[in-house]
Amino acid sequence: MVDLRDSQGRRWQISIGSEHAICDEQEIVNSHTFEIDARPNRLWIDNRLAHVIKVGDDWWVHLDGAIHVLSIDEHGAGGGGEADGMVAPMPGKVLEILCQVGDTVEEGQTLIVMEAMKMEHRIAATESGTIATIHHSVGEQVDAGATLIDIEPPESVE
Amino acid sequence: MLEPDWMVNAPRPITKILVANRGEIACRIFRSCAELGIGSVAIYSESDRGSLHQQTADESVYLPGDTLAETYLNIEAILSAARETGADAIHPGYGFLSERSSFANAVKAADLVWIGPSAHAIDEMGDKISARRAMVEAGVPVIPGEELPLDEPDDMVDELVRAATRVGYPLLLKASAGGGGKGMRVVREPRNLQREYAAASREAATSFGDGTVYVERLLEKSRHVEVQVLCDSHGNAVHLFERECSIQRRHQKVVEEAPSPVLDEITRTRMGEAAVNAARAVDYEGAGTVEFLLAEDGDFHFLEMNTRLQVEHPITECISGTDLVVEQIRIAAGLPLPFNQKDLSIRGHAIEVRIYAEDPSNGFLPAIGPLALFRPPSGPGIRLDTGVREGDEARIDFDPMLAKLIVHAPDRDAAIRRMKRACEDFVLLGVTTNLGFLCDIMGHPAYHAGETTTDFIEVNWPEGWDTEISDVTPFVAAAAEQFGLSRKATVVESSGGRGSPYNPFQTLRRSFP
Repeated sequence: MVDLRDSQGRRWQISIGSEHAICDEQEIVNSHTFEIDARPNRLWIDNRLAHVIKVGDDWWVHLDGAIHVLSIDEHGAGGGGEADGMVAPMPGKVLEILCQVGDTVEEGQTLIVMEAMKMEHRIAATESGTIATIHHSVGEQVDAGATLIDIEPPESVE
Repeated sequence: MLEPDWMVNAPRPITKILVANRGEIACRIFRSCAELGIGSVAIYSESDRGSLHQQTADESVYLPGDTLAETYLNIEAILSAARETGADAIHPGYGFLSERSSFANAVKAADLVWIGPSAHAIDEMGDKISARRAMVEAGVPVIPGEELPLDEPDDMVDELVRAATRVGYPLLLKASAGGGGKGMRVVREPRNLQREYAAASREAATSFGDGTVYVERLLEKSRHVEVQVLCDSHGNAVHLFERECSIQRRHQKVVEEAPSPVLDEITRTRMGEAAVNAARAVDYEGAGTVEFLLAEDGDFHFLEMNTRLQVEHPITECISGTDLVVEQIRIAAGLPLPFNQKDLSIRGHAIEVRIYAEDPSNGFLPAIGPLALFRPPSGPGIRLDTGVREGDEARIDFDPMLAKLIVHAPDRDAAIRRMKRACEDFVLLGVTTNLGFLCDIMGHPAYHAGETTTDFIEVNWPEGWDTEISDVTPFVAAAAEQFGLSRKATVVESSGGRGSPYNPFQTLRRSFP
């Protein structure tokens, strides 16, 4: 059994050799025919040639002129992730921080200005709420995926 | 290979060229050097050790240091690399020092041949204000706009607001010294003016060391059309027709084509003549590009002149049957142009796409990663100008452009079909690229209809772009995982016998090289 996540966040459970697979708890018939040949990075599915390569936990697939990335999910690891963290979309340097801890911010509001590849990028709030933590300061170098800011969702007011 | 006779007998013969650049453009120039029997020298920084450009040149010189200022922008080190290797000419490529007049002067002062225009032409055209003035004098039409003085920062806000009001919204804030989309900001409403000004002037200061900003009316629904010119040192000047570079994101070009799908013969001739006049106005020498904004009604305005070889020069080479790098070298060697305007004509249609390591489904943010699989398309009329190959890495330290894919076909429709097929055939895995997005542009009815205005991407993908999801590829990935295709070589022993954990439908294909 292989557990995968596609670029849309759908989770797949597929067993090659079994006639059905599961995508987000929906059953899908696995009627595909696979062939492999002696050359690496090639796989035939239903007589169509796919190029594949694994980088880290991701399978990169080129099929029918399109490229897809499928991530291997560790068994049992739930989706979710840090629901209320804002992460750096790319490695770069923090240029400006436009909020303070305790500020109330609205979804879409620019909170951080980053610089990467000599361009400025504005990082906007992913949701409305209160700034709980700011993890980096101006001038700091951050990696892709680094959590920048935690936002606490607003408490519901009766 | 021996040098051609024309080089041996040239007024300033060139025997070895140092390219003060990296990546695909360095590789491109080295190829022409090889064909001319001219020696080639690469410079490289630590992170380019073992890169394609270092290995393509005949010789290479390592420039120590972690910053651009210590390496690709280090005039002293570059000149001493030329001395050390006996190079007698320097080609700057594009970007880096290509439009620094101080570099042009330093090269000449070191008694080397500078493959580019004079320092005077670079300065005149490099400063948007003096370029405007020169164009107005030469009778070339310009866009309404004003420069902002920076000497009195306190009065600046009022100045800015006044200038913006005179120019009118929507407007564009541009770094005076800028280019390539850096330091450029669109302001649609007065309330965003100050914020965008701060960002533009900061980007301008970091990228160009000069925070002066220029306010210009944003002409929407316009097209970016540029004309290639070549001028020799004997007073001859020709244009090699236009390129249309309207499809842009973040003010950086993504798709370029030649000729423009909309220009009629009369406008083409007028624009070509305007471009030649623009070049003559600054006594231009070498290859240059005059950019125009073409309005819906057929009016065109001078935008700027790029005093260097352009990224998108290959499409002009395709349709005009020339090698612009060879022409640059000939001109620098003091030779006259081998053709005049009457000898030049447009043959077929060419398209270039820039393959960027970026995520078009996430605001075109730069992406990094290994080029784990890099299998370019091939076939008639397909050219790849690349600075990378399989096994290289897309890194954060340089621009995210990996390669340029160029096609040439008898007509525009055939060229679009060829490009779509070429993009589909390109297997580039390991780092996110814009290839899928480029395929969709090539398949878009608006592109086929030639509706290539500068807001093409915003208009046709207002909600942003996303890949189509596939219900087949998860099975491919699952099968690849199960069959252990991540290993270097896939060795399949027999169809059964291993407890057969495989799909019952599976057959095994054995093939031997």
